[in-house]
Amino acid sequence: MQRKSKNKMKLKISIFLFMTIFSASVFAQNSSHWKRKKRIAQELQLFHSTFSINLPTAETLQKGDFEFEISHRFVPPITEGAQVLYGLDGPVNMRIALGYALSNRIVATLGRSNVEDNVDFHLKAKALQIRNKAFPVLLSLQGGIARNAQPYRLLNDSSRKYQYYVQAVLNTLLYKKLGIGIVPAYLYNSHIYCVDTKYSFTMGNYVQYYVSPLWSVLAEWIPTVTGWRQWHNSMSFGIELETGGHFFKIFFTNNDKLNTSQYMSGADMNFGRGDWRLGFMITRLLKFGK
Amino acid sequence: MKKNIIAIILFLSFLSGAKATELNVDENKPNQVKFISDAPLESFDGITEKIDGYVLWDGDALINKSEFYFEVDLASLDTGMGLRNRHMRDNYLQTDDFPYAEYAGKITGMERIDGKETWHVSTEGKLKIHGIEKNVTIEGTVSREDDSYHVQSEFNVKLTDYNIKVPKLMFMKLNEIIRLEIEFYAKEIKK
Repeated sequence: MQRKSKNKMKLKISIFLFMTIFSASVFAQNSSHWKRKKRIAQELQLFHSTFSINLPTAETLQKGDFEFEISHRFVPPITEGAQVLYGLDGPVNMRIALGYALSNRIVATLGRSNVEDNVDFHLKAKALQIRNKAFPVLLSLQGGIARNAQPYRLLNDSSRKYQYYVQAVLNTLLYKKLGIGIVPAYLYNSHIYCVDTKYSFTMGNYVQYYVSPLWSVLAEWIPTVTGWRQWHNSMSFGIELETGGHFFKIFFTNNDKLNTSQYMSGADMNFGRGDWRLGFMITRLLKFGK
Repeated sequence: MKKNIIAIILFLSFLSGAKATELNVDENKPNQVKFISDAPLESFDGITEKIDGYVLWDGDALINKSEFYFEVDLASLDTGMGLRNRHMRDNYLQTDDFPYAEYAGKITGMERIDGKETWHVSTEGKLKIHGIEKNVTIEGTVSREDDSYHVQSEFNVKLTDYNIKVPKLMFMKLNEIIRLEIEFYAKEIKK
Protein backbone atom coordinates (compact mmCIF):
# COMPACT_ATOMS: atom_id res chain seq x y z
CA MET A 1 0.00 0.00 0.00
CA GLN A 2 2.80 2.34 1.03
CA ARG A 3 4.82 1.36 -2.07
CA LYS A 4 1.84 2.09 -4.31
CA SER A 5 1.51 5.54 -2.78
CA LYS A 6 5.27 6.16 -3.30
CA ASN A 7 4.98 5.19 -6.98
CA LYS A 8 2.05 7.54 -7.41
CA MET A 9 4.08 10.36 -5.89
CA LYS A 10 7.03 9.59 -8.21
CA LEU A 11 4.71 9.63 -11.20
CA LYS A 12 3.28 13.02 -10.17
CA ILE A 13 6.78 14.46 -9.72
CA SER A 14 7.82 13.07 -13.12
CA ILE A 15 4.77 14.59 -14.83
CA PHE A 16 5.38 17.91 -13.12
CA LEU A 17 9.06 17.99 -14.12
CA PHE A 18 8.27 16.86 -17.64
CA MET A 19 5.65 19.54 -18.13
CA THR A 20 7.79 22.28 -16.60
CA ILE A 21 10.79 21.52 -18.79
CA PHE A 22 8.86 20.69 -21.90
CA SER A 23 6.74 23.81 -21.69
CA ALA A 24 9.94 25.86 -21.72
CA SER A 25 11.11 24.15 -24.88
CA VAL A 26 7.84 24.52 -26.77
CA PHE A 27 7.89 27.49 -29.09
CA ALA A 28 6.60 30.62 -27.45
CA GLN A 29 3.46 31.93 -29.16
CA ASN A 30 4.57 35.55 -29.09
CA SER A 31 7.78 37.49 -28.97
CA SER A 32 8.77 38.59 -25.51
CA HIS A 33 10.89 41.36 -27.02
CA TRP A 34 8.79 42.91 -29.77
CA LYS A 35 6.22 45.48 -28.81
CA ARG A 36 3.82 47.45 -30.99
CA LYS A 37 5.06 51.02 -31.51
CA LYS A 38 2.93 54.04 -30.82
CA ARG A 39 1.14 55.22 -33.97
CA ILE A 40 1.84 58.66 -35.35
CA ALA A 41 -1.35 60.72 -35.32
CA GLN A 42 -2.52 61.94 -38.71
CA GLU A 43 -3.60 65.54 -39.24
CA LEU A 44 -7.07 66.07 -37.82
CA GLN A 45 -9.52 66.41 -40.70
CA LEU A 46 -13.15 67.34 -40.10
CA PHE A 47 -14.84 68.98 -43.08
CA HIS A 48 -14.03 67.27 -46.36
CA SER A 49 -13.57 70.40 -48.47
CA THR A 50 -11.49 73.49 -47.78
CA PHE A 51 -14.60 75.63 -48.36
CA SER A 52 -18.17 75.79 -47.21
CA ILE A 53 -19.91 77.91 -49.89
CA ASN A 54 -18.18 81.27 -49.59
CA LEU A 55 -16.50 80.82 -46.24
CA PRO A 56 -13.39 78.73 -45.70
CA THR A 57 -13.37 75.61 -43.55
CA ALA A 58 -10.43 74.97 -41.23
CA GLU A 59 -9.09 72.27 -43.56
CA THR A 60 -5.80 72.68 -45.33
CA LEU A 61 -4.16 70.46 -47.95
CA GLN A 62 -1.32 67.96 -47.90
CA LYS A 63 2.07 69.52 -48.48
CA GLY A 64 2.68 69.94 -52.20
CA ASP A 65 -1.01 69.67 -53.20
CA PHE A 66 -2.46 72.28 -55.54
CA GLU A 67 -6.14 73.16 -55.49
CA PHE A 68 -7.71 74.81 -58.49
CA GLU A 69 -11.05 76.56 -58.02
CA ILE A 70 -13.57 77.92 -60.46
CA SER A 71 -16.77 79.46 -59.17
CA HIS A 72 -19.75 81.23 -60.73
CA ARG A 73 -22.62 83.33 -59.44
CA PHE A 74 -25.37 83.83 -61.98
CA VAL A 75 -26.44 87.42 -61.35
CA PRO A 76 -30.19 87.30 -62.26
CA PRO A 77 -32.24 85.60 -59.55
CA ILE A 78 -34.20 82.45 -60.33
CA THR A 79 -37.39 84.49 -59.83
CA GLU A 80 -36.80 86.10 -63.23
CA GLY A 81 -37.91 82.77 -64.64
CA ALA A 82 -37.51 80.84 -67.85
CA GLN A 83 -36.93 83.96 -69.90
CA VAL A 84 -33.41 84.21 -68.50
CA LEU A 85 -33.23 80.47 -67.92
CA TYR A 86 -33.46 81.06 -64.18
CA GLY A 87 -30.32 83.15 -64.26
CA LEU A 88 -28.17 80.80 -66.33
CA ASP A 89 -28.25 83.24 -69.28
CA GLY A 90 -26.04 85.49 -67.18
CA PRO A 91 -24.35 87.81 -66.70
CA VAL A 92 -22.01 85.85 -64.49
CA ASN A 93 -19.63 86.83 -61.74
CA MET A 94 -16.78 84.38 -61.51
CA ARG A 95 -13.67 83.56 -59.58
CA ILE A 96 -10.69 81.44 -60.44
CA ALA A 97 -8.06 80.60 -57.87
CA LEU A 98 -5.10 78.38 -57.24
CA GLY A 99 -4.04 77.23 -53.80
CA TYR A 100 -0.79 75.57 -52.87
CA ALA A 101 0.04 73.76 -49.65
CA LEU A 102 3.35 75.05 -48.31
CA SER A 103 3.12 72.45 -45.56
CA ASN A 104 0.49 70.07 -44.20
CA ARG A 105 -0.89 73.01 -42.23
CA ILE A 106 -0.40 76.09 -44.40
CA VAL A 107 -2.06 76.90 -47.72
CA ALA A 108 -1.40 79.98 -49.85
CA THR A 109 -4.10 80.93 -52.35
CA LEU A 110 -4.15 83.45 -55.17
CA GLY A 111 -7.52 84.21 -56.73
CA ARG A 112 -9.20 86.62 -59.09
CA SER A 113 -12.77 87.72 -59.54
CA ASN A 114 -14.09 89.57 -62.57
CA VAL A 115 -15.94 91.94 -60.23
CA GLU A 116 -13.72 95.02 -60.25
CA ASP A 117 -10.89 92.67 -61.16
CA ASN A 118 -10.47 91.90 -57.51
CA VAL A 119 -7.30 89.87 -57.00
CA ASP A 120 -6.78 88.39 -53.55
CA PHE A 121 -4.02 86.53 -51.84
CA HIS A 122 -4.41 84.80 -48.50
CA LEU A 123 -2.70 82.38 -46.21
CA LYS A 124 -4.58 79.84 -44.15
CA ALA A 125 -2.87 78.01 -41.30
CA LYS A 126 -4.06 75.36 -38.87
CA ALA A 127 -3.59 76.74 -35.38
CA LEU A 128 -5.21 74.21 -33.06
CA GLN A 129 -6.29 70.58 -33.25
CA ILE A 130 -8.25 68.95 -30.44
CA ARG A 131 -8.65 65.23 -31.06
CA ASN A 132 -11.66 64.62 -28.91
CA LYS A 133 -13.70 61.70 -30.27
CA ALA A 134 -17.08 63.20 -29.40
CA PHE A 135 -16.25 66.84 -29.99
CA PRO A 136 -13.16 67.31 -32.17
CA VAL A 137 -12.12 70.89 -32.79
CA LEU A 138 -10.03 72.41 -35.50
CA LEU A 139 -9.07 76.08 -35.55
CA SER A 140 -7.45 77.79 -38.50
CA LEU A 141 -6.56 81.39 -39.12
CA GLN A 142 -6.77 83.02 -42.49
CA GLY A 143 -5.48 86.45 -43.42
CA GLY A 144 -5.30 88.13 -46.77
CA ILE A 145 -5.11 91.17 -48.95
CA ALA A 146 -7.21 92.07 -51.97
CA ARG A 147 -6.52 94.58 -54.70
CA ASN A 148 -9.33 95.92 -56.86
CA ALA A 149 -7.32 96.30 -60.02
CA GLN A 150 -10.03 97.93 -62.12
CA PRO A 151 -12.68 99.62 -59.97
CA TYR A 152 -15.86 100.58 -61.85
CA ARG A 153 -15.55 104.13 -60.57
CA LEU A 154 -12.55 106.38 -60.16
CA LEU A 155 -10.88 106.43 -56.76
CA ASN A 156 -9.27 109.62 -55.47
CA ASP A 157 -6.89 107.66 -53.32
CA SER A 158 -5.30 104.65 -54.99
CA SER A 159 -4.59 103.07 -51.62
CA ARG A 160 -8.36 102.51 -51.35
CA LYS A 161 -7.98 99.81 -53.96
CA TYR A 162 -6.61 97.60 -51.23
CA GLN A 163 -8.68 95.66 -48.73
CA TYR A 164 -7.46 93.52 -45.83
CA TYR A 165 -9.16 90.72 -43.95
CA VAL A 166 -8.63 88.15 -41.22
CA GLN A 167 -10.82 85.17 -40.40
CA ALA A 168 -10.73 82.73 -37.50
CA VAL A 169 -12.24 79.43 -38.62
CA LEU A 170 -13.53 77.17 -35.89
CA ASN A 171 -14.84 73.75 -36.96
CA THR A 172 -16.21 70.63 -35.38
CA LEU A 173 -17.64 67.41 -36.81
CA LEU A 174 -20.18 65.49 -34.77
CA TYR A 175 -20.70 61.75 -35.32
CA LYS A 176 -18.53 62.11 -38.45
CA LYS A 177 -21.67 63.43 -40.15
CA LEU A 178 -22.59 66.91 -38.97
CA GLY A 179 -20.01 69.62 -39.55
CA ILE A 180 -20.43 72.97 -37.84
CA GLY A 181 -18.32 76.05 -38.51
CA ILE A 182 -18.09 79.51 -36.97
CA VAL A 183 -16.03 82.19 -38.69
CA PRO A 184 -15.61 85.51 -36.93
CA ALA A 185 -13.97 87.86 -39.40
CA TYR A 186 -12.80 91.42 -39.82
CA LEU A 187 -12.63 93.29 -43.12
CA TYR A 188 -10.86 96.62 -43.50
CA ASN A 189 -12.01 99.00 -46.25
CA SER A 190 -15.21 97.09 -46.91
CA HIS A 191 -16.57 99.67 -49.35
CA ILE A 192 -13.87 101.09 -51.56
CA TYR A 193 -16.04 104.00 -52.78
CA CYS A 194 -17.14 105.38 -49.42
CA VAL A 195 -15.55 108.68 -48.49
CA ASP A 196 -14.58 107.35 -45.08
CA THR A 197 -12.83 104.02 -44.87
CA LYS A 198 -15.30 101.42 -43.69
CA TYR A 199 -14.81 98.17 -41.87
CA SER A 200 -17.03 95.13 -41.30
CA PHE A 201 -17.08 92.59 -38.53
CA THR A 202 -19.00 89.46 -39.48
CA MET A 203 -19.83 86.26 -37.64
CA GLY A 204 -20.14 83.73 -40.43
CA ASN A 205 -21.39 80.25 -39.68
CA TYR A 206 -22.30 77.15 -41.58
CA VAL A 207 -23.49 73.58 -41.20
CA GLN A 208 -22.92 70.63 -43.46
CA TYR A 209 -24.47 67.18 -43.18
CA TYR A 210 -22.65 64.32 -44.90
CA VAL A 211 -25.41 62.09 -46.22
CA SER A 212 -22.94 59.61 -47.75
CA PRO A 213 -19.25 59.59 -48.73
CA LEU A 214 -20.43 61.17 -51.99
CA TRP A 215 -23.19 63.60 -51.07
CA SER A 216 -23.74 66.28 -48.50
CA VAL A 217 -26.06 69.23 -47.93
CA LEU A 218 -24.85 72.55 -46.57
CA ALA A 219 -26.04 75.99 -45.55
CA GLU A 220 -24.16 79.17 -44.74
CA TRP A 221 -25.11 82.49 -43.11
CA ILE A 222 -22.83 85.49 -42.79
CA PRO A 223 -24.42 88.14 -40.55
CA THR A 224 -22.66 91.48 -40.19
CA VAL A 225 -22.31 92.11 -36.48
CA THR A 226 -21.04 95.64 -36.74
CA GLY A 227 -19.66 98.00 -39.37
CA TRP A 228 -20.61 98.48 -43.00
CA ARG A 229 -22.90 96.10 -44.83
CA GLN A 230 -24.72 96.07 -48.12
CA TRP A 231 -28.48 95.71 -47.84
CA HIS A 232 -28.66 92.15 -46.55
CA ASN A 233 -26.74 89.46 -44.73
CA SER A 234 -25.37 86.79 -47.03
CA MET A 235 -27.22 83.45 -47.03
CA SER A 236 -26.70 80.35 -49.13
CA PHE A 237 -27.70 76.69 -49.19
CA GLY A 238 -27.00 73.81 -51.52
CA ILE A 239 -25.48 70.41 -52.11
CA GLU A 240 -21.94 69.12 -52.43
CA LEU A 241 -20.76 66.18 -54.52
CA GLU A 242 -17.38 64.77 -53.55
CA THR A 243 -15.38 62.53 -55.82
CA GLY A 244 -11.77 61.34 -56.10
CA GLY A 245 -10.15 64.77 -56.31
CA HIS A 246 -13.09 67.07 -57.00
CA PHE A 247 -15.73 68.91 -55.04
CA PHE A 248 -18.80 70.15 -56.91
CA LYS A 249 -21.07 72.53 -55.04
CA ILE A 250 -24.34 73.80 -56.45
CA PHE A 251 -26.33 76.25 -54.37
CA PHE A 252 -28.73 79.15 -54.09
CA THR A 253 -27.50 82.42 -52.65
CA ASN A 254 -28.53 86.05 -52.33
CA ASN A 255 -24.90 87.16 -52.70
CA ASP A 256 -23.44 87.75 -56.15
CA LYS A 257 -19.85 88.25 -54.97
CA LEU A 258 -17.13 85.63 -54.65
CA ASN A 259 -13.85 87.04 -53.38
CA THR A 260 -13.48 87.26 -49.60
CA SER A 261 -13.27 91.06 -49.42
CA GLN A 262 -16.41 91.27 -51.52
CA TYR A 263 -18.79 88.62 -50.14
CA MET A 264 -17.95 89.73 -46.58
CA SER A 265 -19.48 93.12 -47.19
CA GLY A 266 -22.97 91.65 -47.53
CA ALA A 267 -25.52 90.70 -50.17
CA ASP A 268 -27.59 92.80 -52.53
CA MET A 269 -30.78 90.74 -52.49
CA ASN A 270 -33.35 89.73 -49.92
CA PHE A 271 -33.03 86.02 -49.25
CA GLY A 272 -36.27 85.90 -47.28
CA ARG A 273 -38.21 87.20 -50.26
CA GLY A 274 -36.92 84.35 -52.42
CA ASP A 275 -34.41 86.42 -54.37
CA TRP A 276 -32.03 83.53 -54.81
CA ARG A 277 -29.52 83.18 -57.55
CA LEU A 278 -27.76 80.04 -58.70
CA GLY A 279 -24.09 79.49 -58.04
CA PHE A 280 -21.56 76.75 -58.24
CA MET A 281 -18.02 75.99 -57.18
CA ILE A 282 -15.74 73.32 -58.57
CA THR A 283 -12.42 72.53 -56.94
CA ARG A 284 -9.88 70.07 -58.27
CA LEU A 285 -6.87 68.80 -56.37
CA LEU A 286 -3.71 68.49 -58.38
CA LYS A 287 -0.37 66.98 -57.63
CA PHE A 288 2.52 67.39 -59.96
CA GLY A 289 5.37 64.93 -60.04
CA LYS A 290 3.39 61.96 -58.71
CA MET B 1 13.01 4.31 -12.33
CA LYS B 2 14.98 7.09 -10.73
CA LYS B 3 17.68 6.75 -13.41
CA ASN B 4 15.07 6.94 -16.15
CA ILE B 5 13.58 10.12 -14.74
CA ILE B 6 17.03 11.74 -14.50
CA ALA B 7 17.78 10.72 -18.08
CA ILE B 8 14.50 12.26 -19.30
CA ILE B 9 15.17 15.45 -17.35
CA LEU B 10 18.69 15.73 -18.77
CA PHE B 11 17.46 15.11 -22.31
CA LEU B 12 14.69 17.69 -22.06
CA SER B 13 17.04 20.16 -20.41
CA PHE B 14 19.32 19.76 -23.39
CA LEU B 15 16.44 20.42 -25.76
CA SER B 16 15.24 23.44 -23.86
CA GLY B 17 18.72 24.87 -23.91
CA ALA B 18 18.70 25.07 -27.70
CA LYS B 19 19.28 28.64 -28.82
CA ALA B 20 16.16 30.72 -29.59
CA THR B 21 16.59 33.33 -32.30
CA GLU B 22 14.47 36.41 -32.85
CA LEU B 23 14.53 38.98 -35.64
CA ASN B 24 12.69 42.28 -35.38
CA VAL B 25 11.96 44.71 -38.18
CA ASP B 26 14.64 47.39 -38.09
CA GLU B 27 12.83 50.73 -38.18
CA ASN B 28 16.05 52.60 -38.90
CA LYS B 29 16.39 50.98 -42.32
CA PRO B 30 14.58 52.04 -45.52
CA ASN B 31 11.55 49.77 -45.16
CA GLN B 32 8.72 50.21 -47.62
CA VAL B 33 5.27 48.82 -48.24
CA LYS B 34 3.81 49.92 -51.54
CA PHE B 35 0.43 49.17 -53.08
CA ILE B 36 -0.24 49.76 -56.74
CA SER B 37 -3.69 50.25 -58.22
CA ASP B 38 -3.55 49.98 -61.97
CA ALA B 39 -7.01 51.01 -63.22
CA PRO B 40 -7.68 51.74 -66.93
CA LEU B 41 -7.78 55.53 -66.61
CA GLU B 42 -5.75 56.18 -63.53
CA SER B 43 -2.92 54.40 -61.79
CA PHE B 44 -1.66 55.41 -58.42
CA ASP B 45 0.25 53.94 -55.56
CA GLY B 46 0.42 54.32 -51.82
CA ILE B 47 3.55 54.04 -49.77
CA THR B 48 4.38 53.68 -46.10
CA GLU B 49 7.47 52.80 -44.13
CA LYS B 50 5.40 51.77 -41.12
CA ILE B 51 5.89 48.02 -41.21
CA ASP B 52 6.82 46.26 -38.00
CA GLY B 53 6.95 42.77 -36.54
CA TYR B 54 9.14 39.82 -35.69
CA VAL B 55 10.27 36.32 -36.66
CA LEU B 56 11.38 33.83 -34.06
CA TRP B 57 12.44 30.21 -34.00
CA ASP B 58 14.25 27.69 -31.84
CA GLY B 59 17.44 25.95 -32.81
CA ASP B 60 18.57 25.67 -36.40
CA ALA B 61 15.44 24.38 -38.06
CA LEU B 62 13.12 27.12 -39.32
CA ILE B 63 10.77 25.06 -41.44
CA ASN B 64 7.47 24.66 -39.65
CA LYS B 65 9.10 25.59 -36.35
CA SER B 66 9.14 29.30 -36.77
CA GLU B 67 6.63 31.96 -35.99
CA PHE B 68 6.31 35.42 -37.45
CA TYR B 69 4.04 38.40 -37.15
CA PHE B 70 4.12 41.52 -39.31
CA GLU B 71 1.82 44.52 -39.31
CA VAL B 72 1.45 47.63 -41.45
CA ASP B 73 -0.05 50.84 -40.13
CA LEU B 74 -2.63 51.48 -42.85
CA ALA B 75 -3.43 55.05 -41.81
CA SER B 76 0.14 56.00 -42.68
CA LEU B 77 -0.25 55.00 -46.36
CA ASP B 78 0.42 58.04 -48.51
CA THR B 79 -0.94 58.16 -52.05
CA GLY B 80 0.58 61.59 -52.62
CA MET B 81 -2.70 63.46 -52.27
CA GLY B 82 -4.31 64.41 -48.98
CA LEU B 83 -7.94 63.97 -50.02
CA ARG B 84 -7.26 60.59 -51.63
CA ASN B 85 -5.54 59.45 -48.43
CA ARG B 86 -8.58 60.50 -46.47
CA HIS B 87 -10.97 58.67 -48.78
CA MET B 88 -8.82 55.57 -48.53
CA ARG B 89 -8.67 55.73 -44.74
CA ASP B 90 -12.30 56.67 -44.07
CA ASN B 91 -14.31 55.16 -46.91
CA TYR B 92 -12.46 51.99 -47.85
CA LEU B 93 -9.94 50.75 -45.27
CA GLN B 94 -11.80 52.30 -42.32
CA THR B 95 -8.59 52.62 -40.38
CA ASP B 96 -10.26 53.93 -37.22
CA ASP B 97 -11.77 50.47 -36.79
CA PHE B 98 -9.09 48.40 -38.55
CA PRO B 99 -5.81 50.24 -38.15
CA TYR B 100 -3.45 47.43 -39.19
CA ALA B 101 -2.96 44.91 -41.96
CA GLU B 102 -1.52 41.86 -40.19
CA TYR B 103 0.19 38.72 -41.37
CA ALA B 104 0.97 35.95 -38.89
CA GLY B 105 2.18 32.46 -39.72
CA LYS B 106 5.18 30.21 -40.18
CA ILE B 107 7.96 29.59 -42.65
CA THR B 108 7.22 26.50 -44.72
CA GLY B 109 10.16 26.43 -47.12
CA MET B 110 13.63 27.84 -47.60
CA GLU B 111 15.89 27.33 -50.57
CA ARG B 112 19.29 28.88 -50.96
CA ILE B 113 19.83 30.64 -54.30
CA ASP B 114 23.08 29.82 -56.14
CA GLY B 115 25.28 29.62 -53.11
CA LYS B 116 24.65 33.27 -52.27
CA GLU B 117 23.54 34.58 -48.93
CA THR B 118 20.03 34.72 -50.37
CA TRP B 119 17.13 32.36 -49.83
CA HIS B 120 13.81 31.88 -51.53
CA VAL B 121 11.33 31.62 -48.69
CA SER B 122 7.77 30.32 -48.59
CA THR B 123 5.36 31.16 -45.83
CA GLU B 124 1.87 30.20 -44.79
CA GLY B 125 -0.36 32.14 -42.47
CA LYS B 126 -3.34 34.34 -41.93
CA LEU B 127 -3.55 37.72 -43.59
CA LYS B 128 -5.93 40.07 -41.82
CA ILE B 129 -7.10 43.24 -43.51
CA HIS B 130 -10.21 45.27 -42.76
CA GLY B 131 -11.11 42.79 -40.01
CA ILE B 132 -11.26 39.82 -42.41
CA GLU B 133 -8.82 36.92 -42.04
CA LYS B 134 -7.76 34.76 -44.95
CA ASN B 135 -5.35 31.84 -45.16
CA VAL B 136 -2.65 32.75 -47.63
CA THR B 137 0.69 31.56 -48.97
CA ILE B 138 3.23 34.28 -49.61
CA GLU B 139 6.68 33.89 -51.10
CA GLY B 140 9.66 36.15 -51.09
CA THR B 141 13.42 36.39 -50.80
CA VAL B 142 15.63 36.96 -47.80
CA SER B 143 19.19 38.20 -48.22
CA ARG B 144 21.83 38.55 -45.57
CA GLU B 145 23.26 42.08 -45.68
CA ASP B 146 25.87 42.79 -43.00
CA ASP B 147 24.05 42.36 -39.71
CA SER B 148 20.55 42.55 -41.22
CA TYR B 149 18.24 40.38 -43.27
CA HIS B 150 16.69 42.10 -46.27
CA VAL B 151 13.21 40.74 -46.98
CA GLN B 152 11.40 41.34 -50.29
CA SER B 153 8.05 40.09 -51.49
CA GLU B 154 5.38 40.87 -54.08
CA PHE B 155 1.84 39.54 -54.18
CA ASN B 156 -1.70 40.51 -55.13
CA VAL B 157 -4.64 41.18 -52.87
CA LYS B 158 -8.23 41.11 -54.06
CA LEU B 159 -10.02 43.88 -52.19
CA THR B 160 -13.44 42.22 -52.23
CA ASP B 161 -11.95 39.19 -50.44
CA TYR B 162 -11.47 41.50 -47.49
CA ASN B 163 -14.86 43.14 -47.73
CA ILE B 164 -13.35 46.38 -49.04
CA LYS B 165 -15.68 48.24 -51.37
CA VAL B 166 -14.36 49.06 -54.81
CA PRO B 167 -15.75 52.41 -55.94
CA LYS B 168 -17.64 52.10 -59.18
CA LEU B 169 -18.69 55.71 -59.61
CA MET B 170 -17.06 58.01 -62.08
CA PHE B 171 -13.88 59.78 -61.02
CA MET B 172 -13.04 57.03 -58.56
CA LYS B 173 -10.73 54.68 -60.31
CA LEU B 174 -9.44 51.78 -58.30
CA ASN B 175 -8.52 48.30 -59.45
CA GLU B 176 -10.12 45.44 -57.55
CA ILE B 177 -6.74 43.68 -57.56
CA ILE B 178 -4.08 45.59 -55.68
CA ARG B 179 -0.42 44.75 -56.18
CA LEU B 180 1.64 44.83 -53.02
CA GLU B 181 5.40 45.30 -53.05
CA ILE B 182 7.05 44.89 -49.68
CA GLU B 183 10.62 45.21 -48.57
CA PHE B 184 12.03 45.60 -45.12
CA TYR B 185 15.06 44.85 -43.01
CA ALA B 186 15.13 42.71 -39.89
CA LYS B 187 17.91 42.42 -37.38
CA GLU B 188 18.69 39.82 -34.77
CA ILE B 189 17.76 40.66 -31.22
CA LYS B 190 20.49 39.93 -28.72
CA LYS B 191 18.88 38.37 -25.66
